[in-house]
Parts: sequence; C-alpha cells; structure tokens
Amino acid sequence: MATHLEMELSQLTSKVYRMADMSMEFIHNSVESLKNSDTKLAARVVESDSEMDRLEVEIDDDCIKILVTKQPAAIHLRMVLAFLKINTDLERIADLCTSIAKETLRLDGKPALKPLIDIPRMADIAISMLKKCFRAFSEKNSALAKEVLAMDKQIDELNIQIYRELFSYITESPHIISGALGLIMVSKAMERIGDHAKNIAERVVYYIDGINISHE
Amino acid sequence: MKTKKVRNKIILYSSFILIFMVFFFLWFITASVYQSHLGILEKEMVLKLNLMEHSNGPFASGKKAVLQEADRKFFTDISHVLGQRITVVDRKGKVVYDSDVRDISSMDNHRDREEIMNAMESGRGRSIRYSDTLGIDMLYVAKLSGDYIIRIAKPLYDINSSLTDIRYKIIISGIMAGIISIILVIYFSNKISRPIGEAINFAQIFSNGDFSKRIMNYSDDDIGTLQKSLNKLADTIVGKINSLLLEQKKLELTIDSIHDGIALIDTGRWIQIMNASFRRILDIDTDSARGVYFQVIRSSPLNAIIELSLESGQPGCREITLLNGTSCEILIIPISDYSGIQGILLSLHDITERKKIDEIKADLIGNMSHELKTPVAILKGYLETMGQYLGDRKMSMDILGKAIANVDRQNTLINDILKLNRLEKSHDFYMEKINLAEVVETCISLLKPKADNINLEITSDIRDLDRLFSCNRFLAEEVIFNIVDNAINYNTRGGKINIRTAESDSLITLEIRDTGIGIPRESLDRIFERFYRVDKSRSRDTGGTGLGLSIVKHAAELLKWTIDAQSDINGTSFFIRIKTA
Ligand SMILES: Nc1ncnc2c1ncn2[C@@H]1O[C@H](COP(=O)(O)OP(=O)(O)OP(=O)(O)O)[C@@H](O)[C@H]1O
Ligand SMILES: [Mg+2]
Repeated sequence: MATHLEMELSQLTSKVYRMADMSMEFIHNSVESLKNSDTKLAARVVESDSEMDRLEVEIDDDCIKILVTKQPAAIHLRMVLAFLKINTDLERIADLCTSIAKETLRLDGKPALKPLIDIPRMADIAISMLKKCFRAFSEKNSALAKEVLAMDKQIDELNIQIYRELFSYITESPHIISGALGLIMVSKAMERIGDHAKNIAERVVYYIDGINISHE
Repeated sequence: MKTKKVRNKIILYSSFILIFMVFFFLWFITASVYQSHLGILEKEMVLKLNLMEHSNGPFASGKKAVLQEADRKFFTDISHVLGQRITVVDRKGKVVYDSDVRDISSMDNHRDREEIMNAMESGRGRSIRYSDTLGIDMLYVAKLSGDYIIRIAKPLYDINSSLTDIRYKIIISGIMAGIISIILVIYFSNKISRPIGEAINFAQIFSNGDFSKRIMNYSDDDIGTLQKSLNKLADTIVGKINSLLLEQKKLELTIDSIHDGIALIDTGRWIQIMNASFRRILDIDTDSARGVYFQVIRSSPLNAIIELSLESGQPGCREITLLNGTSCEILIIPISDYSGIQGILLSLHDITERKKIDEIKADLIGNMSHELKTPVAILKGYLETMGQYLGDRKMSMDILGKAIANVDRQNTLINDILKLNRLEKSHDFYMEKINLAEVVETCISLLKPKADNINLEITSDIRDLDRLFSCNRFLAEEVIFNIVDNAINYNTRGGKINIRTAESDSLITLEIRDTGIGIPRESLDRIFERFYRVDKSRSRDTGGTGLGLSIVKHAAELLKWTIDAQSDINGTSFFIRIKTA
C-alpha cells in the first residue's frame, strides 16, 4: 500500500514529467518553426508558454506543500528538492524556446539567413539530453545521468562553430547583420538550453546518489 | 517467527513424561519400602511383646494389681537386652513403669494415646508419632496383658536412613535413565524429523523458484508417501508452468510481431503490456520497459491522451506527430468490467509512410497540374501568337520551334510518370543478351548536345562492359541515361564527367563521376525518392521533376543492380554494381 506521501509524490512526479515532455516539445517546435519559417507554429509556442508558467507555479507550490506538511526524509526529501530545481530549469528552457519562436515571428515568413543545419542538430542533442535525464530519473541510474554532462560539450562546440560561421558572413556582407545576430541569439539560446539540461542531469544525480556534482 | 520443529516437540514431551515417571517411581518405591519395613518392625515388636508376656517374669500372671519391684527389674532388664524403651500403663492410662523415665509420677496420663486406646479396645495397638523428648519419629506398639498395657517403642532411625539411601539410588538411576532416554529420543526424533525437514526444505526451494530440485531419498513411512506426493506435485506444477510460459511466449511473440504498437495501461498508470513496435515507434529503451507510463513515454500529446482516456474511459481515435517526425494514429480502447474501467488498450499505427504518400500524391497532383498546365498555357500562347504572324514565315518557324519544345517537355513528363507507373506495377521485363557498352555509348551520344551547351567534357573507359549481359535494354538505358543526365544537369559550366568501370571477381562497378555541385550529406539517401529535389528552385531551372532517380531505382531493382551515390565538394559519383555471375 502506498503511503500518503508516496501518492502525493507520484502525482508531483507526473506533473514534472509532463513539464519535461512539454519542454522537449518547445525545443523541437521552436527550432522547427525557425527552420521552416512556420509562423503559425511559432505563435503556438509563444502562446503555450503561459501554460508552462502555470505548471511551474503549481509544481513549486506542490513541492513546498509536501515539504511543510509531510516533512519527507532521505530519498523523498532529495526528490522534492531535485524537483524544485528541475522545475526552474524546465521553465527557463521554455522561456528560451519562446525567444527562439519570437525570432521566427520577427522574420515573419522570410527564410532565415541560411538553411539551418547546426541549430536543429543542437535541438536534437538537447532533446536527447532531457530524455536521458528523465530516463535516468525513472530508472535511478546515475551513470546514465552523468552521460548527459558530456553531451553538453557537443552543444557548446556547435555554438562556437555557428558563431565563427556567422562572423565570417557578417564580414563579407554587413547588410545581413540583423539576420546573423538573430541566428547568434538563437544559437546562444540553444547553448543555454544545453546548460539547463546539464543542471537537470546534476539534480538527477543528486536525487539518486545524494551527492552534489554541480561544481566539479 | 520461527516455527517449532517437530523434533523439539518430541524431545520436550518425552522429557516431561520421563521426569514424571521418575518422580512417580520414586514416590511409589519409597512408599512401599517404607510400608514393608514398618510391617516387619511391627511384627518383630509384637513378637517381643508376646515373648515378654509368656516369659516367667513376675508380670506373667498379670494378676497383680500393683507392680512389684521384681517386675520393674524384669522390665528394666528386658529393656536393656532389647535396647528398647518399655512403658507399662494401667487400665486407667496411668503410667506405672517406664524404662527411660525415672520419675513416672511426672508423666501424663496415656489414656488418649492412639496405640493405648487401640490396645484397650482390641488387645493390640500401634502408632507412629514424633517424639518431642527424642526429636525423632517413633513407632509405638502396645499390647493388653491382664490389667496392664505394655508398650514398646522404637525410633525409626534405620528405616529413615535406609529410605534416604534408596531414594538417592533411585534418583541417580533416574537421572541416568533420563539422560540415556533423552539421547535416544533425540536420536529417534531426528530420524523421524529429518525427512520432514527435507520435505520442508524442498518446498521452500521450490517456492523460491528453483524448480529443478527434487527429494532424493524417500523415508519408509507415511512421510515417504508425503515426499513422493510432493515430488509428483512439483512435476505437475513445473509442467503447468512450462505450458503457461509457452502460452505467454506465444502471446508475446504474436503481440511483438504485430506491426502496430500495442500497449496496455492500467488505472494505476502502469504499463502492463507493451510490444516491440510500441517501443520502436516511441523510441523506448528496452530496460525502461516496465513502469508508470508517464515515466516511460516521452511524448506530451500522447501522455495527455492517455491520461484523459484513463479518466474518462472513453474510446477514441487521434492522430499525433511525435518529435522524431513520426505520425501516428492512436486508437484507444477502454477495458472495463462491471466495477468500472480497468485500463486502456492503446494501439499505435505508424502512418508516416501513408502521410508521406498522401503528401507525395498531393505534391504529384500539384506538380503534375502545374507541369502540365504551364506548357499547355505556353503552347496556347505560342499558337495564338503564331496565328497572328502566320504571314511572317521566319517568325512562325521560330514560334513553332518553341511550341514543339514545350510539347516535348510535356511529353517527357507524361512519359516519366507513365514509365514509373509501369516500372512499379509490372515485372514482365524479359531479359535479353545485350552489350552494355553500346547502351552507355547510346546514352552519351543522346546527351552529347546538351553537354556541349555548357562546355562539358565527357570521358569514358568502359571496355569491361563490351560484352553481352543478360538484361533488359529499356531498363538499362533508363538507369544510365538518367544518371548521366543528372551529371550534366547538376554540373557547372566547363565541368567534367568521367565514366569508367572496375571489375572484381563477379562484380562490375560502373562509376559515373561528375565535377558538379554535389549533394549534401543529409539528402544523399533521399534523392531516390519520388519528386525529391535537393534544391527545389534550381531543379525547376533544369526542368527536373524529381522523378529521374526513382525511375533509376525501380529499373535497377528489376535488373538486380545496386546503385549508390557518394558526394563531396568535388562532385558526385554514382556507382552501378552489376553482377556478372
Ligand atoms: N549528379 C548530381 N549532382 C548533384 N545533385 C544531383 C545529382 N543527381 C541528382 N541530384 C539531386 O537529386 C535530385 C533528384 O534527382 P532526379 O533525377 O530524381 O530528379 P531531377 O533531376 O530533379 O528531375 P528529373 O530527372 O525527373 O528530370 C535532383 O533534384 C538533384 O538535386
Ligand atoms: Mg534527373
């Protein structure tokens, strides 16, 4: 028989997972909208950000309620603490995605400066990082979560590559500066999303092993 | 809780019985020894009294009312000889003589003493009493003789000490017997309980899931029968389990072999069943197979649908697109019994292919109508213009030429579509012996004018192909023509095309290499799709519709040739591999 605490935690878990799924969708849809100059999709992304915000507040409230009324211990306590932080990271990811979608809206149907190849790749990596994090969480497999940390480096490298490429474009023809800056912003956002995914992985390790690896 | 062992019970109970028996015998033997001892003593004392009565002492007559000095002396002597206390009491109970007491006047009246009372009534009496004077149990025997009652007393020293001795021996031998019999009991109870232990052990191992063990030696009693039945039971269970496993395996295989994804989720949100296709479609890793659905499935629209259906219990059908681009038709079948909904059965049908085909069809119709309409419109324009300039012969000829070019274009497109249709549908291409070198030459010569237009240089070394191959001329031409055509179309002015062969054991590779614009890596495996064009705008310029390589693919399949392409910044190579054996 599940205890009261376990039941509440399971409900909380389901919300956090829902939020995770949604943020993966955010990443995918925002980049997809930019790639295909799909303003409709972008508008949808911007719109659903409020739903993310609502979920974030709800999860925060739930966590605090459990902490105060149930006073969980050991692994349950770590779970709630991890969720509190993961929650913020997920919300930040959604925000960053919204800013990417807004870039699509700004372009308003015009194709991006160049066909997007590396940015969707970054998005794919970020999504699989998140996937891995939550799989690690479900399976209590900290080794899997640690794999995520290395994946963040790939995103960082791609980001630097995009920087270089866009700088070379700008020096060639200065009139594309605004388009290039837009892409640089997007790439930077993706890089930050990678960082948040990495934070989540660290939280997952903390939840499973009870050790903090964020400053190693 | 530890269960009590049969063996321990047996030992405990038999020890109780044993201890009880020892004490019982102890009591019984002591009591009977004491009784018989007492009987002997009493008889002896009665004999002594009789002897006194019949001896010739002064007292013998018993008629004298008052005890004489001589009588006293007689008693004192006898008391000395016998070593026993002698007391004489008259009928009123007054002590008239006592061998151990000098001053008889101080003694109590003895009338109420039990032995005296009995002697007065029946002539003889006896009793055992604790004597305060001597601090010991005394046996008193009294006899009525004339007006007097003579009583002798004997301390029970002997009898007590011999009883202690006997008790001691009985206790020692009792303890010995107890030890021996407890050892025996332990031995026998072990013997009885060992097979029980074995049976229990076996049952425990079996219920823990090791079905291979059996009880090896049967004991020769009821327990043996029990052991045999246990073994038989185990065999039956293993048989049942195996057949169940087989059934389950069959079911699993069946479910797994279904192409659609199938999963069963209960109201506790647990995934109960999930087949291989379900995992494949949703990209679920095998080791996270079982679990709460929202921890296993990473798709928020699907999870939302599942949650909703679990709550409402309504059947439904939806279409969703997963993040990896797969489109799925989801069928939800609630499973319920009288007590309400038990779970839902989810069936995922991958409709990506179908959607693609739909798109292609829509594309095709769009493309076709565009491709068909444009030349027709142009043609109409030309013909109308021609009508106006019929008199101007040169002008008319010019326009006519353009009109014909458009008709040609139209013709090619229609032919391509028809060809593709034919290649897809029919397999009735007969094989003939043809020289492939000739086929290649024909294609080159057909395309030569086009190549010259942009100053392309075509070089070829195809001696390996200068022999007869079993294949179909039409199909072979389609393959080579289209590839060379592309090599020209996607080349740059002044570029090169090189056609050469390489032969190894049973394989000839025909390579068509160009110095053109190349194909991006991510497009390389898509160019054989219908209507797929890397850069839509450029292909339009070349008049391409994206059907060429699909025709190549189909034709090559029919010929059992394999085609692959490589590309880098220097250009593109197509390899046609032809089996010679
Ligand atoms: N040699 C080549 N070099 C560069 N790109 C090529 C080459 N061959 C094919 N492609 C690319 O592959 C796409 C598909 O080729 P395919 O022959 O099927 O269509 P098409 O040439 O556009 O039209 P069609 O051949 O039906 O007139 C082309 O649009 C082109 O982008
Ligand atoms: Mg072609």
